[in-house]
Amino acid sequence: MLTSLFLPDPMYFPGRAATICYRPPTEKRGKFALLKHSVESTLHLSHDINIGTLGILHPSVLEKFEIGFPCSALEFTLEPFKKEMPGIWTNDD
Amino acid sequence: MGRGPAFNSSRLEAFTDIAKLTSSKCSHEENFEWLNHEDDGNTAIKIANPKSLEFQVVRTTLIPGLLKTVRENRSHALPIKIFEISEVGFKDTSRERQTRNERHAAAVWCNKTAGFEIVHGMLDRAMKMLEIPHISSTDFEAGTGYYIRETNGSYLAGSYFVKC
Repeated sequence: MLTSLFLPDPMYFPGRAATICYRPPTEKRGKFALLKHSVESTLHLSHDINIGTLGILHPSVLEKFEIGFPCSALEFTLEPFKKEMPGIWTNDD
Repeated sequence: MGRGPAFNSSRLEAFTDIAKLTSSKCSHEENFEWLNHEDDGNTAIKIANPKSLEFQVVRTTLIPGLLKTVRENRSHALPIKIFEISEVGFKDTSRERQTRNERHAAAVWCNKTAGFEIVHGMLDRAMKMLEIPHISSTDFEAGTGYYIRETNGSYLAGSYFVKC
């Protein structure tokens, strides 16, 4: 999901879908980090990540699930917002 | 997750949590074909000897579970508004255990009208609870924040997204 940056998602009705983008806060503080940020923002370089999608579901999807009414869906990952957790729960090896 | 309790409370307004009703596994069809998604063979964790159709893959998205709940509750009065916060699994060959868990949040709104603005409002509410500010997609100076951008064509670009 995270790799399909800005490609149309056929799960949604054409033209009625959007990607949710998130800009993580820069961790480092200091003059160099600030300078780097200002240079990057001027050059329009971004490290924004795609965290999910929302939109109106495609009628063919609703048909497969036998739903007779229109539906809107939202899905995004909470991974960037996780705080410290016990090691056994995390993805770190 | 550190900020989990905020989600679990009734603060997601009238949406109902269905996390206890869904299974972490589903059929291959539900996870891919029915959502118009293609299986590239590197995404989902497949169960080697599934006992039933419902246990073919570990789900990579929460949407099938939500839609199945809508389907089974078709006699319920509209609108149906449900959400789920659970883990999904992905294949990850770069790691020793070959898999990776991801915690996802998802919601579905079902009514006589589609209600894109309802799920968009839900996203805004969730981001507010996570204390992430809304920024413009053209704002390259902001330190942190979130924004949405249209993907499927440009139908929404002119009318809806200008207001965001």
